[in-house]
Amino acid sequence: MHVPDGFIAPQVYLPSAAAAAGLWAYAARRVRRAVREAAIPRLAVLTALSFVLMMIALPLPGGSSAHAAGIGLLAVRFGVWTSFLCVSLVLLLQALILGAGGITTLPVNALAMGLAGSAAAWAAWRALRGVSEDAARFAAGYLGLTVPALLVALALGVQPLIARAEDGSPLFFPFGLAVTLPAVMIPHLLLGVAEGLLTVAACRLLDRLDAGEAP
Amino acid sequence: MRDRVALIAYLAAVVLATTVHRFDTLGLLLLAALLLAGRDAPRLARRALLAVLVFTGVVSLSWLAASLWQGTDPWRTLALLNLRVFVLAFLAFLVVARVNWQRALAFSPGLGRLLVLATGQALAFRRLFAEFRLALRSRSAGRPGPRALLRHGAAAGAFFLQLALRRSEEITQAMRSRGLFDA
Repeated sequence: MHVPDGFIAPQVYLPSAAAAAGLWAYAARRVRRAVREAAIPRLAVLTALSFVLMMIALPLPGGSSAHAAGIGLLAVRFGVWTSFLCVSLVLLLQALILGAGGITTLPVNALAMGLAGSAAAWAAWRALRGVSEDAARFAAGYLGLTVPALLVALALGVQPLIARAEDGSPLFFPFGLAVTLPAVMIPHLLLGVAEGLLTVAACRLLDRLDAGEAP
Repeated sequence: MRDRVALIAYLAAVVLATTVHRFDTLGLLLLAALLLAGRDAPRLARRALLAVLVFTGVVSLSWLAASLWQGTDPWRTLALLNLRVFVLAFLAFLVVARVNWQRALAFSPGLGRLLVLATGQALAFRRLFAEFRLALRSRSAGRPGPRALLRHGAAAGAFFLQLALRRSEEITQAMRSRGLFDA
């Protein structure tokens, strides 16, 4: 989901940046109100946690693997706003440390992965936890990965519609929705299953650790 | 002040590179960035190239194939896209190499502290996670299967979550004891 700079038109990234800036400020106020002076250290280490969660390998059919997102786990354990801030900061650190992603794609990725992903994960977990805790955690992990993938596919797919040269050639990401939706969604619908299983397994382990049991 | 000006200049250059669709403007922007990078230019260019190679390569090759299939001219789009992506990646690596983020974000001490703490913790966690990976490899006879990968991922996730909460408490106490929360 890491789209480098240069593929998203300013008609998309500038309004996204304005919306993200307002939402970051609101989220920061919410987190500061909840944990007061511990807000900075807590956000810093949870950002590091999110950074490392994104390095975990997810097993895929055929013996290959891909990287987890960890959004479901973060949203279930710490709530939407903390998760949104941490994922946004991770995207910034990844751009600065690893050169993955970029500064123009940061607000789009932050809104898709950090906010929409966390909100979908948290809402699914809240809705299903009365039925089955494991099903709720699986849905959180699954939607925490697939909802952002859908939004990123939409953001990329609309580029040829909104930014074209006079001769009709695309100026940014060149493929439309007919290509981006299947290309992004099909692998992520599979990856989501592994992400959901990982979220369930990690939450179960944490339950046992919280209860003082050896894993 | 120098760092803040550099950060603002970088953001302005990013907006310019994405709003102007002319080869000469993007070429001049790249030339200016190369001159500013000085002796670091080859190293930064290599890093920028490697960072965008996979995504841009896949998109470019797919666009080339699709255009040839449809009988349309792919070169203008490909040249503009690749030049713009490279310019932006080079500018990002240049600004990362030259700008002190804590000084650039000094207008918000909280944000500066948060970035410094988060970067330090992320790098420490990354080192620790590399040891987790080595441990899995050393304890697996062959390539780890899906079950082993899932159990390893869950254990690592749970471990780092607990570590994060412990570190958060420790750092809060350390900051409090040094008077950083005294208004």
